[in-house]
Amino acid sequence: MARKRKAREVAEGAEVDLTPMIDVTFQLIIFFMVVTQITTQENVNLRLPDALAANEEPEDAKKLFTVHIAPVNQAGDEMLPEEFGWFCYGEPNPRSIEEMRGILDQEAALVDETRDLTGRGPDGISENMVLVRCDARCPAGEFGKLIEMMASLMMYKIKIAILKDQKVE
Amino acid sequence: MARQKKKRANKDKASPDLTPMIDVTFQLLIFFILCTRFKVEERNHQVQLPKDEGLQSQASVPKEQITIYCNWDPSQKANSYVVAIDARGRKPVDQSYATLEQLVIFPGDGNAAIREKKILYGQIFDNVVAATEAYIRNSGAKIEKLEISFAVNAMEGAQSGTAPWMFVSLAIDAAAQVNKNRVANGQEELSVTFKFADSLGSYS
Repeated sequence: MARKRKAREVAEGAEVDLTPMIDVTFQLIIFFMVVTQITTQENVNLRLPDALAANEEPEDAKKLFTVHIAPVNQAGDEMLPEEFGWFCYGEPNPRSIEEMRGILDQEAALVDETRDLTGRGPDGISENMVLVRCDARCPAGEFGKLIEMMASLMMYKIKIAILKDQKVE
Repeated sequence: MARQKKKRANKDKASPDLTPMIDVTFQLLIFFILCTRFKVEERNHQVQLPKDEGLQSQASVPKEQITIYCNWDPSQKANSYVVAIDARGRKPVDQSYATLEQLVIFPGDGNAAIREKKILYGQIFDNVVAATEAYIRNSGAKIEKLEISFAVNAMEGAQSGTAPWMFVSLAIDAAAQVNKNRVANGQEELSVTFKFADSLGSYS
C-alpha cells in the first residue's frame, strides 16, 4: 500500500525536461538565420546554362547591377516557357523596354566607391559592369535587345552568369 | 504560521511557462525553413561589347573575323553550328546537332539524365572549338575577331527569330576556350562580339 502511494506521488510530480529540445531548436534557428539570404535578387526563377570554359567568380567580387532574363510567369513550372521578361532589383514584375532604358541609364552613371563603380568617364563611356543572368530557354534576341540598349547608352562591360558545374556521381 | 508554510510551498513549485517561448521559437524555425534558398554557385563569362558598333555606329574598317553561327531550326526546335569567315565559306560543324530539351537541365532530371546532357554538351563544345580552331588555322587569314550570330536568318536579323540562349551560351563558352588555347600557345586573344543585324528595327 505504501509503495503504491509513493509511485502515484512520483507520477504526479513528473515533468518533461524541455531544455534539450529548446537547445536543438535554437541551434536550428541560428543555422537558418546564418545561411538564409534575405535578398530576393537570386529568387528569380530561371535555368542558367552550364559551361566548361567560364571563370570562377572571385569571392571578394563586388555586387553588380543584375538583369535577370527569365520567364514572365514566375510561378509556373513549364518545361519550355514562351514569354520572357527583364527583371531587376528583386522585383516580381518584368520591366518594359522604356523602364529598362531609364534604369540602365541611371546605373551607367552611378558612382559608388564601396562597389567599385566609377560611373561615366569624360568621354561619356560608362565603366560600370552589368551582370546578365539569362534563362537557357530564352530566345537570344532578348539578350540582343539588352546589349543593344547598353551599347546605345555607352555601357560596354557585361558579365554573363552560367551555372557552376554540377557534379554527377 | 500556516499561511507562511503555504506561501513557501507555492514558491517551491513555481516555474516559468515555456509554452509561448516554444511557440515563437517554432514559428521562427518554420519561417526560416520555408524561406531558405541555398545559393546556387555560379561562374561567369566576361564579354566586352564592341565600341565601334551599335546604335550610332560609323562605317567601320573591315576586319577578317570568324563567325560562329547558331543555326536554329524553329520547326524542329533544334540547333547546329556553322563556322565561317565573315559570311563566306560557311562550314557546318560535325555532330553539333541537338534539341533544346537534350541540353537544358531541368529540376526533375536524375543523375543519369544530367550525365547524358553534360556528355552531349561536352561533345558539341569540343566539336565547335575544334572546328573554329581548324578554320582559323586553315584560312591563313589574320583573324582579329570572333563573332557569334544567333539570328535564324543572319541577313534578316532578329526579325527572323533567334536561337535559344543555351546555344548562344555554348558558342560563347567555345569562344572562351579558343581564347584560352590561344593564350596557352602565346597567341593574342580574339575579341568576342555578337552579330544581331537589324534587331533595333524590330525592337525599338
